[in-house]
Amino acid sequence: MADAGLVDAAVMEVLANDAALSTLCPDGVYWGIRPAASPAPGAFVIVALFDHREQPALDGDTLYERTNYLVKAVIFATSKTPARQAAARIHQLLHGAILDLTAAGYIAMDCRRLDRVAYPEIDLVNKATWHHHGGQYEVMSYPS
Amino acid sequence: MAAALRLTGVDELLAELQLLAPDLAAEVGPLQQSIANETAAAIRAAYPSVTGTLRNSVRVARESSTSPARVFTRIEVTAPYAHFVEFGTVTTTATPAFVPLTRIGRERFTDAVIARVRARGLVVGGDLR
Repeated sequence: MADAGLVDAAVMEVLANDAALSTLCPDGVYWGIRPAASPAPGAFVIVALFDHREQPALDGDTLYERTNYLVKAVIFATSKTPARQAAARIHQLLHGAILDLTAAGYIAMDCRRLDRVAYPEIDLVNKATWHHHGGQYEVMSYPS
Repeated sequence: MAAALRLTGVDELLAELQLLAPDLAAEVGPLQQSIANETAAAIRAAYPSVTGTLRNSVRVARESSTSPARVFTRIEVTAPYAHFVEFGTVTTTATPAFVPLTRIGRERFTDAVIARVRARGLVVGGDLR
């Protein structure tokens, strides 16, 4: 049975299992937000559901689905370079990738970056900077 | 040596297309404005509100065009922290509103134009998204 939530998990798994990205973002890959109990400062990856649409077929079936994920590295640093490097690694892992969605009951068609995301955030407590770098990635898939 | 790509005949093609449905361009301008206004209202409704500044900063602006066959409308959010709301901060989740709702608005506009073209007896094919 197709489970779109497991498509989300498959995207996170690709990122979490990569040694190079783990080196750049050692504090992990999180869905939506980093848990409040996590140590700060840090370097981590956020994956969030950003947009989703389904192309209906006959008989109520779904022809294919397009899911847009926000995927960004968030790194506390004086320079944006580490976050930019992490975003480049994310791009290597996702852009053009055919993800294994077998466990989710889907077959992947494509994964593409739709747009980049890059902005600084001044930490209200210590006035240092968090750098957010990544992009919106669209996964196209259909239920198997 | 600089590379250059020159496309000729684009204006002529647009003029030919316009002749297929001469009244369409005049019709889609207000249609686009209407859908843009509805999209902006949906974005305002989707945004969180503390002071109202973010919601009040969502604006619709009609862009000028040198061609009668082209219409442009811009939706903009001018609050300087809009990207923090849309894409999240270290301590807050992303609130996707502008990106998905403008995508829906663009698709609604495309569908509405296609419907009007078909209503004139013309055939529209291919994936236009």
